[in-house]
Amino acid sequence: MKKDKHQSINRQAAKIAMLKKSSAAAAKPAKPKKPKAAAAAGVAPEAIAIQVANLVVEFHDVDAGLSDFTATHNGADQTIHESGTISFKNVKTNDTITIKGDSAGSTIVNINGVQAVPMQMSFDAGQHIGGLFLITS
Amino acid sequence: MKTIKRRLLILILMLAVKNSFAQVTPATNFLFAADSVKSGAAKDILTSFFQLGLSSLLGPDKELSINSNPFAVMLKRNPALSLDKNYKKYKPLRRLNFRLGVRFDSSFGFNGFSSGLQYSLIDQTDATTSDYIFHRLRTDELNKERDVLLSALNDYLVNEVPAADKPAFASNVNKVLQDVPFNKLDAGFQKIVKQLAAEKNLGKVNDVFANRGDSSFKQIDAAKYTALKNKIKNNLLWTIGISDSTYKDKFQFSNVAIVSKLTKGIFDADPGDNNLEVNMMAAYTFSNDTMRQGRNLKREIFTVESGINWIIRDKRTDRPFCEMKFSGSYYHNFANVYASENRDSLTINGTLRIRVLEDIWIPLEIKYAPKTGNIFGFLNIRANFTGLNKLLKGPS
Repeated sequence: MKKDKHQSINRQAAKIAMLKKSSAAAAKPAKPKKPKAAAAAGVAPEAIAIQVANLVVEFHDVDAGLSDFTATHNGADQTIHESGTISFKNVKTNDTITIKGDSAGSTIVNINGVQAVPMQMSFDAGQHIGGLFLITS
Repeated sequence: MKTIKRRLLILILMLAVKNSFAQVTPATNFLFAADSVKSGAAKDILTSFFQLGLSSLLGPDKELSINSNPFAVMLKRNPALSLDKNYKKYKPLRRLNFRLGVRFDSSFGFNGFSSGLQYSLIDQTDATTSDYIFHRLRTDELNKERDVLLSALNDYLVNEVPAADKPAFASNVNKVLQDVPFNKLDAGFQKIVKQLAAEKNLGKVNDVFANRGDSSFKQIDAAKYTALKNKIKNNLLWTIGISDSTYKDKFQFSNVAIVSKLTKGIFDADPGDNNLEVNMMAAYTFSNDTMRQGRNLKREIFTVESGINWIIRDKRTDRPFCEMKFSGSYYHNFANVYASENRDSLTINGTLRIRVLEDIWIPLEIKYAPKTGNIFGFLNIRANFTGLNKLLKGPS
C-alpha cells in the first residue's frame, strides 16, 4: 500500500517536472525526439553516444590578439583570437573537427573529452594552422 | 688580499651567469632566433635576453656589466609566461632592460658600481608583437587556398572514405597540409588531392604541388615567415633610459645620465644583403663638478651623436658579422668650464664591430676631436647570451 502511494507520488512529481520542462522548452530550439516518443511514432531508437569535444588552444610567444583560430564541426564555426577552449556538443564517432588560422607565435592544439586522431597538433611561429581531428570514439 | 677579493668577485659573477643560464628552454630559444639577425648596434641599444659587456678594456675606467631583460629571465624560470595572455600582461617588463656593473680603474682596482634601466618606447622590430606580420599571414592567398583544400578534403573524408580507412586518410590530410612534402605522400592520396585542388581552381596550391613538391607547406611557411621578419628588422627602435655610477668608497652617485637612443634601417634589403642603419643618441649627464666644494652632481653636459652604421651580413644566414659606424658628436657644457676645456666641442667617431663568435662582438671605438687633434680609443667586448652560454658549456 505504502509502495503504491510512493510510486503515485513519484509519477505526479515526474508529470510536474515534465510540464515545467515543456513550458521552458517552448522558448528553446526543438530538441531531438526522445526514444519513447520515437518508438511511439514507429521509428527505431538510435544508440547515439553524445559527447563533448574540447579543443584547448595555446598561442605562445605572441601578443594576445595577434592570432586567429577557427574550428568547425558539422558546419558550425567557432573562432578565438587568444588562448582558450572551444567546445562542440553532440560529437559522434567518425565526425571531424577542422581547424584553420594564423598566428605570429607558435600554436598548440589539444583535444579532450573524446578520442581522436590525432590528439594534439602543433604549429611553429608563422606556420599556417590547418588540419583535422577525426573522432574515433 | 685586494687581488683575491677582485678575482673572487669576478668568479662569483661568472658562476652566477653560468648557473642562471645553463639551460635554454624552447621559449627562450625563440627569443634568440628572433634576435640573431639584429645588428650588434641594435643589440647594444636593447638586448632581448642577456648581454655581458666589458667596456674600455684598455682605458683608465673599465667596466664589467650585465645587461638583461627581466621578462626573459622570468620566462626561463617559468615557460608558461610565454602564453599570449601573459605575454601581453608583462608587456612593460618585456620592453625593459636593466644593467648592473662593476667599474675598475686602470690597474683593475675596484672603482665603484654602475646600474641602469632602459625602456623601449617604440620597438617595431619585434615579430612577436607585429601587427604587420599578423596581417600579412592572415591575408596570404596560399593560406586561403589551403583552407579551401582542407574543407574539400574534409568533405571527401566524411562522404567518400569507408569508416575503416578514415584514420589513415585523416592522417594524410594533416601530413599534406603541414609537414610532409606532397611528393612524399602515397600516389593514391596525391591523385585525390590534385583532383580536388583542380576542381576548386586552387592555382597557388597546384603550383606548389607541381613545382615545389619536395617542400612541405611547413617549410614554405618558415621561409615566408623569415622574409616577413626581415621586412621589419629595419624598422624603428627607440629607447629611453637612465644610468648611473657610484664612487668606490660610498654608495653615492658620481654620475647620472638620462639617455635616449634610436636606430632604423635605411634600405628595404633582401635577407643576407648588407644595409645601412641610422643610429642616434642624446644624453644629459649630471656629474661631479670639481670646481665646487664636496661631491655633487652640478656638472651638466648635453651630448648628441648621430651616425650611419654599415652592416655586413652573411649571405646564407642573414647574420651580421661586421659593422662599421661613422658618426659625429656634439657636446655642450652647461656648468663651469675647466681650464683647457671648451664649452662646446665636436668629435668625429668611428666604431668597428666584429662578431668573433656567433654572439660575441668586439666593438673598437675611435674618437677624434678635430679642434684639439686628440684621438681616443675604446676597446669593448659584448657577449650576448647564446655565445656566452656556449663558451661556459665548453665544446659539445
